Amino acid sequence: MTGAADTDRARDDPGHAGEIVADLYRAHALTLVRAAKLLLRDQEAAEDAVQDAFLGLYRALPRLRDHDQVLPYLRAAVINRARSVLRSRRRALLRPVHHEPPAGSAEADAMIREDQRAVIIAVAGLPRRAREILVCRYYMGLSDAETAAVLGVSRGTVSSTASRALAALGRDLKEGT
Amino acid sequence: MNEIEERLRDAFDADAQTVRPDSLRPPPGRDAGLPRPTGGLRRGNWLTPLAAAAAVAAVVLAVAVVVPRIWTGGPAHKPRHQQRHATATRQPRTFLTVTTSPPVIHGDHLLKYQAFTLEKRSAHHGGRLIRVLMRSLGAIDAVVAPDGSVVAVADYGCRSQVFRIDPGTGARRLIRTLPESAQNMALSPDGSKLAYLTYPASDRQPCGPARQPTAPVRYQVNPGGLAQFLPSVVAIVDLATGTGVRAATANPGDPPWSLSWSPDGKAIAAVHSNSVELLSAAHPDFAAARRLRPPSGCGYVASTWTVSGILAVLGCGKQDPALSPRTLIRLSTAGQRTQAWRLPACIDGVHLVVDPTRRYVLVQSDVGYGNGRPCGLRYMTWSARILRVRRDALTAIAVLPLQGGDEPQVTGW
Repeated sequence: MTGAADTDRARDDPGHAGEIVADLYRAHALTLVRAAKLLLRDQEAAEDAVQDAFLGLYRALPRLRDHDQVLPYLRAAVINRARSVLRSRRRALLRPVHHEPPAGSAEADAMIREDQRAVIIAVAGLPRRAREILVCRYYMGLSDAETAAVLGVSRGTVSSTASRALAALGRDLKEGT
Repeated sequence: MNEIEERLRDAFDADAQTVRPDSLRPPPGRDAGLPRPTGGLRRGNWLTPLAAAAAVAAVVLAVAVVVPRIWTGGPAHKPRHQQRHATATRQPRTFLTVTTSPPVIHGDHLLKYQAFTLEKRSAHHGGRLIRVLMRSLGAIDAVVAPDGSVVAVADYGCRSQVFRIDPGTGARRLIRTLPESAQNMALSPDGSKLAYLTYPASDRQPCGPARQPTAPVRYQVNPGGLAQFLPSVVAIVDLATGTGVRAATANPGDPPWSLSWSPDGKAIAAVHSNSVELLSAAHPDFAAARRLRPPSGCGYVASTWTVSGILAVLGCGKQDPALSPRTLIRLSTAGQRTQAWRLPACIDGVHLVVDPTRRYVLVQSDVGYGNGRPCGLRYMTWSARILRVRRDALTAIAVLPLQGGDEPQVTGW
């Protein structure tokens, strides 16, 4: 996490912003890409979303007054960009092209067990907000308050949506077995 | 934590581990050429003595730079592609097409020659036209250079003109004239060399028109005679010096096609005799080229070279493999197939373009006619489908109709 002195210096010295962004990238890019991949099911698109978020941060860094807001800003930016990608995909689906995706890599297949894959598939079937909340809560390890801040919803919405999503997941997985 | 929460956390962690740290792109930063952030001055202290001195210096510098440019009639500012800093690892947001408009013929008189238009289109809004960059009566081929500018070749048969175009404004500058036809151009990764296909010196092509006729002209079929073969010579020219090397196929009736540079700029791939052949860029020679052969009964139709291997379109069948190719594959330089995608049915023309970073590929597949079902069974609407190759997906980003005689072709991005 960057400090207040760093953000102040970034405000006065734009060149310093690049170093701050690079540090943040090294510290958080992997987690954010993994989180975005859980939402998008596509590593390339996830990397795009995270790169876009960091570019946005680079431009916005001098305007950020509160250094504690940098990481929540990044998380929210990644989630917003993931939403944009999903919207674009829906538009692309309107133009049907017969496409036969290749099987996932053998390495990735070996890393995920069948029961874990069933969970991931069940999560993919949930509404968008439920997926986002589950990823924030159970992958990023955010509290309900932090999740609410990242997604721009109330804390009560986070709790109730998570509760409903877990119930739905339980039903899906029970039916699947 | 209940059981479902544990399973969820467990599954998320397992899925996340499939993203390996070493597979991530480099961070965006000054090395990636990011624009400088805005809003660096705090409200209230903007008119410090330092800022005032900087402002005065900027005005003096601007006057010193702009006035002589205006005086000599040159551009008053740097082209936008030089102002805009490329983000090295992002996929392009726009692509280039060349639309061919057919000649206008009335009876036995020609009113307008065939014309070519170079266009910049959005990759995010279904190929929406953003800007017309160039119009020409010479066949245009264009690619995006590493600095963000567009390098375009207008081929007039007996000569070709190479332009550098600012994609933001359309302003263009002639950077070289080649004394021959230049087709199917490919720009080296550093932007310094141009590879193209041309005819042997003994097979001079007639000069095409440079201007539209002011009055109807008597229409003649092939006034310069038919070209006996397609261009069979690969030429590589240094854009700064004009020096170059070339290689001809042993049989002019068996021309190469689909040129692309290796990411390190040391080799060129060409589709030739149904194979992908890898030529040395310094000493091109088809006899010494390494050949990546297709599977039995198949042929490669088009190819391009990316940082993760060679992408090639594979067609199979008893007839022409170029008709209805159905597979896009990724090959290692040793010829091993590492990935495959299924292409749309009924393709009668396909080609690939790669961006300057050699990471992102577009596939243009012209759909409307081909072998096998459902092609030929019913009338199909002709269209050019522009597909984007992602890690594990082939996604349509635009469908351009082929109607009214105008035929758009993706040429770069």
